[in-house]
Amino acid sequence: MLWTGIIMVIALLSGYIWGKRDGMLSVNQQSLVSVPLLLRQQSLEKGYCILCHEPRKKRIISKISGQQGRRI
Amino acid sequence: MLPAMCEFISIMFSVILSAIAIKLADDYLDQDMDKSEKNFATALGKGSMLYGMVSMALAASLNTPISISLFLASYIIGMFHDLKSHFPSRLNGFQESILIFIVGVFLLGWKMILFSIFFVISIQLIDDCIDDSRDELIGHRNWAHRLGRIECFLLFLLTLLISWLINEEIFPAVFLGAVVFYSTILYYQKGRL
Repeated sequence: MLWTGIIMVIALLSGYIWGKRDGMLSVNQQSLVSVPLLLRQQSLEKGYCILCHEPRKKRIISKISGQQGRRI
Repeated sequence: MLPAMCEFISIMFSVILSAIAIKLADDYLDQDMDKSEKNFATALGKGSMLYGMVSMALAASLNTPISISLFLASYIIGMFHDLKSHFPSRLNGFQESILIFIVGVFLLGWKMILFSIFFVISIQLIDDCIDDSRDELIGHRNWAHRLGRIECFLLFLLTLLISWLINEEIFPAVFLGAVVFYSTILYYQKGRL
């Protein structure tokens, strides 16, 4: 009776720890993939890309090329 | 039937008195960190250690092996947080624990000491589960933080069952004594052990 209880608790404990660790690992992997996409989606909705700074880069390039054009 | 009842009750009261002694000693050591009136050492003042000693003497007169083994086990478990710290004996926490364990096995037998160690670990774990949110606020060291609350509770169940397996004869009386003591303390401190 006592042995059964001990074995049951050990099984519960090891299952819980294993499941928790597994869950944390999979959530970590998921977040590594999904967080940059989410960030990009949210920033694009606001008109710029947080990862590549797309509109700002274009603005800078156009500014530089404009200045060069004036010099020429 | 009557002698068996008397033995059961004497073990129970011995456990309650030992628990009072351990609680007073613990509160006395935690006095610097816990200045509230719910700390018994603060409430009793300088006499708390003396009351603790009287309580321990009464517990030992009722049942020597159980009370002494519970006290030694509490000492060993209390050292788990300070395994690397050095004490006035010039030994560190780990060395003191081993020394107390060897002395306990030599004087009281391995069965009694192992029973007490597992029983006290289980009490410590459930205490940490109950105290989880309060200890998180005041920065106390707590097993529920380190391991997680569910793991702590399952380990409590496991250590309690192991202590029951080690000494089936005295477990019911010791368990009932501990439940009576902790329920009283819980009622007195309104949810704070």
